[in-house]
Amino acid sequence: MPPRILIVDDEERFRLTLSKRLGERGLEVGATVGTGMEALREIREKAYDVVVLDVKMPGLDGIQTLEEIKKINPHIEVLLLTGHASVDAAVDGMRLGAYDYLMKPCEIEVLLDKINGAYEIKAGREERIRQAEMRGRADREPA
Amino acid sequence: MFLFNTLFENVPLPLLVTDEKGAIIFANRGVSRVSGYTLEDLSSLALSDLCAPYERGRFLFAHLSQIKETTEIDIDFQRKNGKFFMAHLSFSPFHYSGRSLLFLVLRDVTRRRVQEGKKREDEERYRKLLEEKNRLEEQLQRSRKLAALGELSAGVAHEINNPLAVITEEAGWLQDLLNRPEWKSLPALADFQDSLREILQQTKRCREITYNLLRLGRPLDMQVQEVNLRGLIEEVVEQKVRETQEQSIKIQAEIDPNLPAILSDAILLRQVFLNFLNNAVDALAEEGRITVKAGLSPAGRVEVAISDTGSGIAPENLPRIFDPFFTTKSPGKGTGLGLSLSHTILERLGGSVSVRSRLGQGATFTIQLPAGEKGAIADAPQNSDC
Ligand SMILES: Nc1ncnc2c1ncn2[C@@H]1O[C@H](COP(=O)(O)OP(=O)(O)OP(=O)(O)O)[C@@H](O)[C@H]1O
Ligand SMILES: [Mg+2]
Repeated sequence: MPPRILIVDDEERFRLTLSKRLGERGLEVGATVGTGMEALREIREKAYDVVVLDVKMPGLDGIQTLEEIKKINPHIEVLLLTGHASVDAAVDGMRLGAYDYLMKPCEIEVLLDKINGAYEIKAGREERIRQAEMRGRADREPA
Repeated sequence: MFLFNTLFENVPLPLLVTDEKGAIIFANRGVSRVSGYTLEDLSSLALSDLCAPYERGRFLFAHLSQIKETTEIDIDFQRKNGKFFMAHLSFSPFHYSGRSLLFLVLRDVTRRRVQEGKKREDEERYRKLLEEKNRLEEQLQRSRKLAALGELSAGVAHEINNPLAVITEEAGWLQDLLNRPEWKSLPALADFQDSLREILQQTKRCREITYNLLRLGRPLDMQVQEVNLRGLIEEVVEQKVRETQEQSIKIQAEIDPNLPAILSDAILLRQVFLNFLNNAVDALAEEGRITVKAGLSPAGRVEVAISDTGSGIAPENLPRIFDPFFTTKSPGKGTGLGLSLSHTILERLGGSVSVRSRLGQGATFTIQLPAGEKGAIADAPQNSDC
């Protein structure tokens, strides 16, 4: 199952074209939104695996959005997209639990790799949780 | 007559009367006071006896009779106790009873001279301070200008970066489409692909420019650690030597063996040295010499001077070479960001740069860096926007 992706960037053409290009490579971009607030609404309402998140946005910026996303669902992996000067911010973002960051404009193949990497981590973690839960259930069942 | 005698003897000003050979005929108490000789001593002395030994051979003493009008000189006197003092002496010739005599007024000007001397020293010191101040002022001006320009260019660069990202994605999307099987038979497919590659190539170039521009105005990521400057310089020089093998360019490093390791950012410094070396190579055209000298300045700062024997810099360009985008090179050869970026980097590293050049006679860029003290490097302000 391909990861479900949310793209958050205030530059409309950028997020739309990026989404088409990822789609061209077999990924399922669930939605693209232009603000942090919309992103949070999407995440509350639907299931996403990976969020591609622009750091510099008007209103709620990428770092704030990241913090909120992690509060709503700590398992969602976030990839930060940054301009050059926001590398510092991106590094802060890593501390707040972002999976990785990419400089904009970025190579589509690199982005693809990172999305897949983020998804594998998330899937692996969910698998471990599921197994732990199953073990827990097995433990509770009478022998 | 009695009145004048009393006056002459007691007036606080040292007064003398000599004959035309300089023998003292009268001397008052004032002379006695400043010279330390008694009035009796004085009556048997000549004027030159009161002077410092090295003054006795003065032309004037041999030609006193020829003084026709009031003459003033500065001369060193020696007291009876051997101490010297500086005197201002005025000679006025007069006639009395058929004899030619000289009336002398002596003033001790030691204190004034010392003060004047001090003033000269002060002036010299002041001049030096002023020069230093001007130099600092110039650097400050340059920094301010750069800071302002840097901020502006960083803003512009950032604004351009987003459209660049869009262009990159759009061109990438077209590439994706052209890669679909149904487009394989498109006439001039290769031309389309080539054109798209070029668009992407050029956006990459823009991106490099915006990258440098952003770094001008924004804090740099600094990794301060112990840097082996000697190794760094040698490595950069070797790299340049390799790159210029085809040309008749001689590059050599002269590094003071006592050069200490410094606390700095090796990656940034490397870029700075490369910028200066690139400029030097460009200035040489095909042949010439580049020297990189590193050592300690008298003030204990680390100093690296990069000199070339190239074209030099026109005086009217000198104040502008550190401005972003100032370049005398053709498009594609230079964007004019090397020096402004280097200046900014050096400043953040607690260093400075100055330049000396004459048109046609090469240029020397001198970099100064703090030698080791940790506090010398300014903390980069935090920023969190993109
Ligand atoms: N060693 C030098 N000798 C003569 N002129 C120099 C030297 N270094 C710099 N300059 C002059 O200063 C200008 C600005 O230099 P700077 O390094 O900032 O930009 P550039 O070399 O033109 O372009 P870039 O470094 O961005 O590729 C140069 O174009 C050149 O005219
Ligand atoms: Mg240059």
